Amino acid sequence: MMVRDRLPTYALIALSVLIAFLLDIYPLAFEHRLLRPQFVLLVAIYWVFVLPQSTSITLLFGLGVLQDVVVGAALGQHALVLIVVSYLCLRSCRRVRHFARWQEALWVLCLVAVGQAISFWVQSLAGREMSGAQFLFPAIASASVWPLLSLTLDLVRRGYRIARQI
Amino acid sequence: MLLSLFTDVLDKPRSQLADFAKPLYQVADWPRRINEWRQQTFVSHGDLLQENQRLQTELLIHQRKLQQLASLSAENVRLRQLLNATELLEDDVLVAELIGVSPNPLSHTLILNRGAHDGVFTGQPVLDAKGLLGQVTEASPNSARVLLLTDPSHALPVQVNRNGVRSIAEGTGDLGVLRLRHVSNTTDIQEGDLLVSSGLGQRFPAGYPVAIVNRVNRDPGQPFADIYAKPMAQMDRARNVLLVFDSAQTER
Repeated sequence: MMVRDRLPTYALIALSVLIAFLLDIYPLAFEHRLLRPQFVLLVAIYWVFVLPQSTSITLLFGLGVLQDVVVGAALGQHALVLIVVSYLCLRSCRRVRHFARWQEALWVLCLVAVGQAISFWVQSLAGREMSGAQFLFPAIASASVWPLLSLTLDLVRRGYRIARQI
Repeated sequence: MLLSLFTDVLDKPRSQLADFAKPLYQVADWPRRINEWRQQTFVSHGDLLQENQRLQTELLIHQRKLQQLASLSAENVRLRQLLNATELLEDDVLVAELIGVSPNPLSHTLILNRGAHDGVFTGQPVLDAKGLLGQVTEASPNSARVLLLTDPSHALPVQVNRNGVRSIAEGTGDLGVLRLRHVSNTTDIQEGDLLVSSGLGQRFPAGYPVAIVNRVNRDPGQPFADIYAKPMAQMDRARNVLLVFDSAQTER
C-alpha cells in the first residue's frame, strides 16, 4: 500500500476532525451549552470503528491535548477521555459492526457517558462541581446526533472508496 | 498528566500552544460576523436617521454630565490635597474584541483577540461598558482567556457603595448571580445596594461597579445571611471589552 493511496484517507480524517473542532467551539448561549454534542469525540469514535487496525493511541493522545488547548481545559483531560473511550471502541468494534444505526447510537450513548463522567470528575478536582445527572445531557445529545453524523461520514467515505478494516 | 491541575509547570507551554486555537475561534466566529455585516449593510434610511437622533440625544445628556464632572473632579483633587491623600490616577485601557466563549458548560471563560504582544498580562482586570467583567487568566502571545466574575472558581473583594461595608463576592456558576460570602446577619446591606470593587485584593482597581444586590435572606438560625447580587456587566452579550492597565501595576 502506497502512502499516496492513503492520502485521501488522511485528508478526510483531518478535515472531519477540523470540522468537529469548529462545531465544538461554535459559540452557544450558556443555557444551551449542556446540550452540545461532543463532536470531536464522536468523530474519533467513528474513525476508530472504521479503521480499528490503523488506530494509534498516541495520535489520539495528541488530539486530546490539542482539544485541551483549544477548549482551555486542564492539559490531559480530553486526552484521557479520548484514550479510554477509543480503547473501549477498539475492544467492541467487531461486535458493533453488526449493529443497526440506532443500536450503535445506544452504544455511543454509553461511551460518551463514560467520557463525560471522566471529564467531569477531572473538573470536580478543579473545583467546578456539577449537580445531579446533568452530566449525561451531552451524552444524550451526542447519541441523538450519531445516526446523522455516521450516515454523512459513511457517504463521504464511500465517495472516496475507503473500506472498513476488519 | 492530570497534574496540570495542581501545578503550574505546564502553564507556559500551554499558553504558547493556545495561539493555535485562535484561528479556530476566529473561523467559528464568522457566522456572527456575517450576520453583523448583513445587519449593518442592509438597513433602512429611516432606521439610521432614528438611531442617529437617539445617539445625539444620548451624547447631549452625557456632555451635560461631563460639564459637571470637570468641576467635580477638580474639587475632588483639591479636597484630596487637603486630606494629603494620594491622587487617583486615570487608568489606561485597551479595547479588545471577543472572539469566542468556552464550550465547557461549567466554566465561564471568554477568548479575546489581544494577547501578550499587546501588553495583556495574567491577572489583568477586564471591564465592559457597564462594569467589571472578569480577569485575564491566560495571556498567550496573540490571544487571551478571561475568567468571568460568575465562574464558580472566581471571587473578588467588593464594597457597598452606600456605606463602605466590605465583603467578598464569589461566582455561583449562574451567569446572573453573584453571592456574598460570610456576611453576618446584622450587617447593613439592603436590596438595591451597588457593590463596587474595593481594590483590596490588589488585583482589581478600586471603584468600578460590580453588581447590584437583589436578594437578601436573613435567617436568624443561620450564622450568615444569604445575599445574592446581579452583576452589572453584561456577561453574555458584551462584544467589546476594555482591558485595564492599572497605573500602579504597569510601574511595577
